[in-house]
Amino acid sequence: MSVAALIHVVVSGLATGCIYALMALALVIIYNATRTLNFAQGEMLMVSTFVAWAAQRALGLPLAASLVVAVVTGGAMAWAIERVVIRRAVAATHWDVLIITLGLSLILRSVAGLVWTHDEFPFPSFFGGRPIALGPVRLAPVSLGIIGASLSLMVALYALFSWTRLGRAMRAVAQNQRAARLMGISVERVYATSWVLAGVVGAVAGVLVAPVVFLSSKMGLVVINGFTAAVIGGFGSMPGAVAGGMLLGVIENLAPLYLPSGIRYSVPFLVLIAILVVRPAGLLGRVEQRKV
Amino acid sequence: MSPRARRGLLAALAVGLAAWPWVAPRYFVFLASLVFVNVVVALGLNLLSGYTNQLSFGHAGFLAIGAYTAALVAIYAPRVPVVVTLLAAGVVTALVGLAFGVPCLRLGGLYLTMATLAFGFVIVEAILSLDALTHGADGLRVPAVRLGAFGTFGDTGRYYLTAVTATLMVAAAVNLVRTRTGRAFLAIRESEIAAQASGVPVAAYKTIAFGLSAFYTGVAGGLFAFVVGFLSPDAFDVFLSVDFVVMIILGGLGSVPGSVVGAVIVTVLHDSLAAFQNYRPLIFGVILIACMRFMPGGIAAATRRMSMRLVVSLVLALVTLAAALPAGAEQGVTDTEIVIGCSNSFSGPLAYTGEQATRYGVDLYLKVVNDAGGVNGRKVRSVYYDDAYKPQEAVANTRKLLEQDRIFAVIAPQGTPPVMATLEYLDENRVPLLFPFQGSPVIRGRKYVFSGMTLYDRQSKMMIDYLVGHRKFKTFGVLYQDDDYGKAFLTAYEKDLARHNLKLAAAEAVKRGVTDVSAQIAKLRAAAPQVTFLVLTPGPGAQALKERQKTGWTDTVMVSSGPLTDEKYLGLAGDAAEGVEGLSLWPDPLISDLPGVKAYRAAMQKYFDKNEPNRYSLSGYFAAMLFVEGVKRAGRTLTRETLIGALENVRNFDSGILPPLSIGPDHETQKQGFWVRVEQGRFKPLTDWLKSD
Repeated sequence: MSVAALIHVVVSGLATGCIYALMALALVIIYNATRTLNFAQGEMLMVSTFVAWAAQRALGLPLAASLVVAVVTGGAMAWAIERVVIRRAVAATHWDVLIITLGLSLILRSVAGLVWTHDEFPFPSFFGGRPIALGPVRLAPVSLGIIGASLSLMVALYALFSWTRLGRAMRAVAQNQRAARLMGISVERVYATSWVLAGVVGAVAGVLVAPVVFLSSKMGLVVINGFTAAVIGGFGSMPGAVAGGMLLGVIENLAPLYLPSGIRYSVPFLVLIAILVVRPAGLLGRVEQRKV
Repeated sequence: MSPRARRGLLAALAVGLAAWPWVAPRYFVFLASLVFVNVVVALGLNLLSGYTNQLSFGHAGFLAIGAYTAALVAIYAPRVPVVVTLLAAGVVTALVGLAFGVPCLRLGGLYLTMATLAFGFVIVEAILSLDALTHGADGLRVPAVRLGAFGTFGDTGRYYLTAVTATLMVAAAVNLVRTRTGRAFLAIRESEIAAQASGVPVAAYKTIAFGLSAFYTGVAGGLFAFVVGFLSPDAFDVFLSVDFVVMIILGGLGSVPGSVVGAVIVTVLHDSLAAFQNYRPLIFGVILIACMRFMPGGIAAATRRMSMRLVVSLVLALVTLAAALPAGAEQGVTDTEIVIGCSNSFSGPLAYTGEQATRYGVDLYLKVVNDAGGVNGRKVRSVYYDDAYKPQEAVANTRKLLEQDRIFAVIAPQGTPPVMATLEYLDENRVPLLFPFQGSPVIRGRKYVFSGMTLYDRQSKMMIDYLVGHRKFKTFGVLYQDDDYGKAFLTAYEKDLARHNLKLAAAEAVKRGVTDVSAQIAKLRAAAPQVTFLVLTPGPGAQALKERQKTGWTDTVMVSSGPLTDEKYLGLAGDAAEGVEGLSLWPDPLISDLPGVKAYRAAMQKYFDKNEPNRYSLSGYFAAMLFVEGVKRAGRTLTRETLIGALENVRNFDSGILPPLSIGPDHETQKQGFWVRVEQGRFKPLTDWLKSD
């Protein structure tokens, strides 16, 4: 195997990893606000991408406009879900919301199948398929485009969380809900914002990944890799989610190069279990001290 | 409830359960066995989730360990009585569960949930990779149940086995709650910290709960293996784990009667929704949300102390209902009607193919025939149930089709594991299995089976003979799907190349549903084959073409297998498909001007104008055409035997779609294909029909 080929495989893995990282970020944003997992994150991604695709076909929109449609759909759907079903359950145990989102994911996938069938569809890409040659190394514009777009979104999220009032409020809620409320932060608003933000991040990830994995009712399963990435990085840590996603993408791609076919597909999960056993808080996470 | 009323109810329950196989139709005896299996799983899951607050999404993995353990014991030690086998299944599962659980139990709540989810996936991968023992993706046939000197079991025997086991397990669970361990579980459920503070060694009890839960689920797995009779890794996916979670959420966390009620309702609901594919997950999703919003604590909490009475009433109501159920007409043929059907994928990985082949393929031709007055005065009606590519559901659906709907023949089911799982059963009942949508040679040489698609070994032979003989290629690589479909082709390629004194230069596996094939393509490219076979499904197949384009790999001819050579794959790959070659099993459904294909398009336009013509629906349409031809030839006295005789005598049948077709005693209907190359986004024929004889 030449070094050039190896570089291509790693870059391709980083591109996939970026999608996992975006999924993980979306999960972590909701987790930090509401201390729960959103099992429906993958299906939210799938539905917003389908809506963008349908709008594009019906109205002949340019790709950039359908990205906007996806983002608006993702945000609106997340807002509605939070408002109608999640908010009333938040007070109970951390399971209730998990089970509710599990139910939502089943419902969304069924509905998508009823509306759009379970077929796979090609989705147009912002980036071309022909390789760019850098000496002997060939890089695909698709991979570079996904990496570039994801990194910009991550930087934007970083800026939002670090420098805006809203971001500070969200971090405060993540640290201590009661204290945040006493400081005059509307915790409910933070919940809603977190869901909308997660919906938007998911929608962008959907539009980026759909040309690669194709549009189908199954594409929501990427959420499982998002979970794995978030746990590897340390659930709750945003830099951890990004690192975990990238690492997972690269590991997934390198495993078939060097490991026998019997275990290569278990590698991500074995890594996950190993990390949970050795360092339960993940690579960059902090051990959580919860009180009664 | 007074103790006396309680005893009375329990006695009534015992009588009802014992009488069940004698009052209920055959299918419901089988369904009841499945209910008992699920009751045991629900109890096991509830021991963990309900009492120690650890939600698990990996119980399908535990079920798999138990099932495979029992199956292997039954295969390699056939004289071992079933009680020992079930215990072994439970113990092995408990040991694996503890080996996994002890380190993971340090994790709380969500993290343990994640770990169990990962565990489920690892177990499926382990089954796939231990294929010397488990037969990997091909699936494993489970021998009949033995109870020492009593010989083997039939349906009724299996029913009593599951019923007795489930009853014992329920009794054990009820009593467990009254022991020191049970009290500790309850304390942990109420508050882990308070329990710890009161001197309950929480970690130890959580470990016990985990082991017990795995033991219960392992025993259930053993029962599952015997009831279903066929195992494959597809059976134990994460959605099965989700079904189990639905059972205990609906029934009630931390409640034994709740587990039972939840398992009964979910199993029965699952079964009765088999015909409403897409609505099944929808309804389960609504149940989950409704429970959480309006009925936290599930049915058990909603009915408080009534729940024991509820269980009993439920069972008694079911017994009465089943006794009143009608048994259908004989053999699915009346003076005015023929009923056929199949279990197929309407959800899961091959949902699109399944739906097209049946509802838009078989049914399309049947509509044409029925609107023209039917065959020999009889209209043909079809019934389909969804198996989501899971063998256990294919078994349940096929039994339901035969025992409840009384179908005459099975037509066009899909996928090797689901078809294999029903093969013995159909054979025993002498039911024709017609034209399954799968090409694995394992179905060859059976009296009641007629193959559909050109079998994979024939496809391989045509491909290799053409490429080596006519095109003079010397080096070959394969990118194949890591399942029965890919492996059947791989074996056949190796054999056919050996005939030409050649060997495969490289073979790389792709897991079903994978999203990135760059590593596999890089490895294949390093071997520099002149020809690279793609034995994949449309999504990954198109990804392989795009990956080739991305890396600028031009000096290989990519060749698609028969099932892959279709318009869907071209559409997904876009301009990356240019120059790709392949073996085509069907004429182009969109532009071919063969009379049969034109008629197919006209019918599609007439009955389903929104559905694009495609090869899956064309293959189903053709299957129905061949079936109707057989029925015509069998004449007015239509029985399963006369149909088989008539089909065996089909000579030069001109469908206008495929070349004139003759079926001989080998029961292979299709043996041909032709070579195509992609030019400007369409398959252009390069050869006439190739022969594989």
